[in-house]
Amino acid sequence: MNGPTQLERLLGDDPDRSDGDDAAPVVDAGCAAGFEVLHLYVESELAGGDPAEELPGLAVHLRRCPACHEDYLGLLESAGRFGDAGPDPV
Amino acid sequence: MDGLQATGARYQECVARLHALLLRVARHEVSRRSGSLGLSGPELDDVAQQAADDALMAVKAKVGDFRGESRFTTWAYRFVVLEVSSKLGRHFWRNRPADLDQDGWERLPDERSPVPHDVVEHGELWDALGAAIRDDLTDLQRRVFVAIVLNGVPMDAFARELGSNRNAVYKVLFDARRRLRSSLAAAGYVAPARSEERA
Repeated sequence: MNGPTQLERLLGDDPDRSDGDDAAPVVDAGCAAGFEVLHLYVESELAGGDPAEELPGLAVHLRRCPACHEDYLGLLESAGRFGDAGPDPV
Repeated sequence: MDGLQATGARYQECVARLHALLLRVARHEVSRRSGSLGLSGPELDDVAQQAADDALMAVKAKVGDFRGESRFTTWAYRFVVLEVSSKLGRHFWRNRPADLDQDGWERLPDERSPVPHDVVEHGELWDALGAAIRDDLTDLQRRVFVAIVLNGVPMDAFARELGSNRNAVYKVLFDARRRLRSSLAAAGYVAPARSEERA
């Protein structure tokens, strides 16, 4: 068992983490702003895109926020399963 | 944007069809999340009905914001998922011990707390984490960290307990983790945050 690595799971990832040594840290979108683009993130993923690249602030947030991550999992599943259910109502 | 902005029979038909879609998603989402809640069939369906009803209200109120960047269904299902999470939060405490409080970390690990059992076997690390929780967090940060990270309380359930909201609780959790990371980094247990490395 790797204690330190697992301890870091309790602490979450580095709040100033970035994707490269010289890159600026990605700003966490937060719950409210993340919700506003969650559908775009899920659609990108379902389409085989790279939502973490397109919406890095939400990607960071989903790694850290268990509630929003659970919402993401639920939306991903429902959009995949029921996304084309019935005619578009609008 | 026709159906939801129409009037008369066409509007009513559109709303009914949309509600049916939202209810189907709500039932699926409630079922997906319900494993640890101890809710039975009728209770689960009641949660799904309420979530679909409230999601429909949200969709109707915000449909003008839909810009066609995704399928309408994906945009609308967000509200169902959010409502299910919120409503299940109300039910969380019904089958939970009342002593998941700010001192809970002192009794950990125990049978209700799978995370410390599974992830922190080294007593030294646990001691350091416990000391940091005790000494370095504010009361609110300690309550939030212990409830959500150690005891696995859903954020929406704990936000309701605090009379707060998810966004505010997340901010407290973020600050608590950052403070714990700083404390444990100073003791050499974890890597310091990049901002502290640069400082």
